[in-house]
Amino acid sequence: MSDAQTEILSDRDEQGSFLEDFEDASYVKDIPFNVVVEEEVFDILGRPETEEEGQMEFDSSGEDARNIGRFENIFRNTSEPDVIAGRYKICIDQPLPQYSAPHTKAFAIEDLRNRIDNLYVLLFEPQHPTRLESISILKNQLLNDFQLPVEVQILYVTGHSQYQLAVVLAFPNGISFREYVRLKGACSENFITSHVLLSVIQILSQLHRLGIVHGSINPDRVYIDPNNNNKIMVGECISGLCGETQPGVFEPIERATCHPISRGAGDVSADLYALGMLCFYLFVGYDSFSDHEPDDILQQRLAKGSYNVIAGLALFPNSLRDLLKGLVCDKRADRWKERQIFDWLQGTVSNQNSLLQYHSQATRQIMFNDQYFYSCHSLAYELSCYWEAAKKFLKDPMFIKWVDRSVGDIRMASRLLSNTKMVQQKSGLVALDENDFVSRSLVMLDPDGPLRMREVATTISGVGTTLAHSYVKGKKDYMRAVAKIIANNLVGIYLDIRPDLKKSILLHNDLQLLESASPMLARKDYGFGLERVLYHLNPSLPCQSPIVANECIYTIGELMQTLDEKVRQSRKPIKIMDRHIAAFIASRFGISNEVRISGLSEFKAFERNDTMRALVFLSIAQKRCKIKSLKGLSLLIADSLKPVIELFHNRRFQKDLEGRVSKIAKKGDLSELLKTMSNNAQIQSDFQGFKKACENYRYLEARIQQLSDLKKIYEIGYSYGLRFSVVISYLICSAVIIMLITRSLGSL
Amino acid sequence: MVIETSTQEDHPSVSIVIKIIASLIAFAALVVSGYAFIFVLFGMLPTIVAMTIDRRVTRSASNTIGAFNLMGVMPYLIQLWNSSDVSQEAQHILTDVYVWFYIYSAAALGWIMIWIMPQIWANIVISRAHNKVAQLEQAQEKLVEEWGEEVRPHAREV
Repeated sequence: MSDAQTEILSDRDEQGSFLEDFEDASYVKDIPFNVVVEEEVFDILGRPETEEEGQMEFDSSGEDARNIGRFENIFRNTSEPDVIAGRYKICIDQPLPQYSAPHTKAFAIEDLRNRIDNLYVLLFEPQHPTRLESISILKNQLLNDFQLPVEVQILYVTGHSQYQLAVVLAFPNGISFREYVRLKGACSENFITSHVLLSVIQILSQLHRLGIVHGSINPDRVYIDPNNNNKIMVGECISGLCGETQPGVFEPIERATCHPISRGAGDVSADLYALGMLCFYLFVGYDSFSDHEPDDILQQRLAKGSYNVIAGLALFPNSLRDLLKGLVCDKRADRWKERQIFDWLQGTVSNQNSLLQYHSQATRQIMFNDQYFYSCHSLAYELSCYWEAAKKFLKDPMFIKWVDRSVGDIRMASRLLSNTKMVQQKSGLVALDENDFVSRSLVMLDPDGPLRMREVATTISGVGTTLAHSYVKGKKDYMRAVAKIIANNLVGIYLDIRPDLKKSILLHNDLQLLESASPMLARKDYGFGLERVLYHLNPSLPCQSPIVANECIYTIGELMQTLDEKVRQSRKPIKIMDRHIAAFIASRFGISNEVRISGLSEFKAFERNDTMRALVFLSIAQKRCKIKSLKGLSLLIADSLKPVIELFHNRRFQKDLEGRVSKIAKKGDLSELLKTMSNNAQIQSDFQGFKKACENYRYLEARIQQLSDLKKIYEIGYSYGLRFSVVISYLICSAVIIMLITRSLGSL
Repeated sequence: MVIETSTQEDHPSVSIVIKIIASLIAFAALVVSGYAFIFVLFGMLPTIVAMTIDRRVTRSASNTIGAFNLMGVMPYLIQLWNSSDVSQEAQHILTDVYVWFYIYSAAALGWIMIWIMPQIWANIVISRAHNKVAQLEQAQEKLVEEWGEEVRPHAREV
């Protein structure tokens, strides 16, 4: 592992503050998306409602829709803090570090009913994804010799001042194999194969049949009870993600080169590899790798092959050699399956033909970073550790020549050459930036290895957990790296080189998830973006919004009730919506298109208003979860709707609407509230009325301007006066003349 | 005086009626008697002055003054018309101070009218305009009351 990669697990700081930095989704602004997003509109009011239930119909065809039921059977205890299922009291002052994992802490518990002290509890940090599906499956199983969850609940832990997922487990019987070997030394070949191997593989078989990969088979997690006929017991596998707590030497090479958090869902063969390494450990009787740096061991495994490395440390009897060759095999396809182990135990299979090395060696070595390399895999790993040097090295024609002639892979050489041409092209459609160039080159050079970006190396199924981890750590670089893996379709290149993976049932879901994440990432609206990808790829991740950070929210129902409760308890208005909550709701409901209110598309001020957008998401959630009343939320939203109401122009209508909104808010029905606010006819009529009023006002303004020009008005009046004078004088003159003439004629 | 300060160009639509009447009277007077002609000439002097200085297109001043001036001269013209000896009668009228007082008083009435009447009218119109502006502003306020202040700036854009 490079230093930078190991850094992901270190310093757990500023957890609260970074989330706010991403409200604007600016972290992906420089990512060149090559995804064409179909501009569909998810018309929430335009969709038909079923008459019986009054429910809106939503597009729940997405992968996320399946997650809704996953969390429903986990009880949320809101009444009794620190007491699980009314009987197990958490002793927060008695931590059990030996059963803890990096993001899961173990504590002793007190059974309030039976006073039995063979139980302990695992408390999961709500910022991290968990193996919730495995927990749900295992809780209802009856497996022998395996640590099963006794009780699962989400409850408030006063010592940690937050809600946490708590899983009660029984202590494992006996001692760990590490302790056993320390006390008794190496185990015999017969004991290993006929007792340990058989017991563990039987337990693993049961787990695998349930679709669960253990991911932590190692001497600390497998127990033996010397007081009970050396009975073997396999420890729990739920405290961490698959492979998160597994030492690198117990992981097959394709997973060992990834950061523990990025190893992904894992597969059965990884458990069998670990089982092989456990057998090796028991046979040698000590941790033969403890004196070496993990990175050195990894380099040796990459260069020589894992089996060759362990074979160099001990001399195995023939039978065990066959087993170890079969299990500690770097080539996944050649690694033994369960069936072969059972066959081998029955003596019906031997293993002579397994490839002992991950890659065939090149005929000649190549030097990078003052070291010589014979295999593409080890070179790719080294290049990923020295990213800047790799940029120059990968463009070197000598390197392409080495791949072509010494490795003898012409197709790989031609791919690398065209990739080099793309980065040398400074502009145009196919131009690559240097980091993308290195990532692509490493995928081409080592198609069996992880997806590598600068400081990030992840399996396909580990992309989600890597993203979740980078959110916890607030590492924008890692987020950008994950976003680039998705946006640049690095997986597509991977699949182009290894089309066999497309048929892999194991990867099918992960590939589909990543493929569907791409358009989600490209959209910046509420409910999409990197936050949406976070929940899409990590269905077991509680809502990470700072608003409900301490609440460990897994379901929309819980989210709505919690928000409602928070609003009721708070004396002043609080924030109830952010990108996380919107993405969480959209992810849980599998909303794949932009959420819009029908008829409001032409009224952008209404549609883009934050309160309206919050109302849209929350009303969807309320309807879908069939929550009858959310008074707190409704009243708060009604209060925050004042600026939206003020978008209407007519004051009388505003007052009327305000009255209606506050009346509906008292009922607690968010959908009704949304309907009232988004009535297209009333908005239209208001806008048209306003337009008319503006025209009237303008006309009146012009008239006033005219009448305010006193000089002109005076002139007009004066001219009237003149005309009047003329008319009057003519009339008087005419009258007088007629009178004089009449009198004169009369006197004659 | 407005008529004196007016600088408007001469216009062919000058009160032709007055000109014709005046010319006919003057010509008739000249034919009948030289004294009568002198009487008409001096009697209509205010009109001649007004016509000379009134450069307004409508010739309102010259029309008004002319009408009143004619009103003042007319009784004496009829007196001349009815007399048996026009020259003697004309001499008698020419020497009568009261005659000239009446004639010029009538012309002065015309001057007063053309001076006061337009000002009265202008003030009436201004006062009506003020009332109208107040009404329009009230209507605007009503619009603002109903549709808000936004109606003001928007009015220019619409």
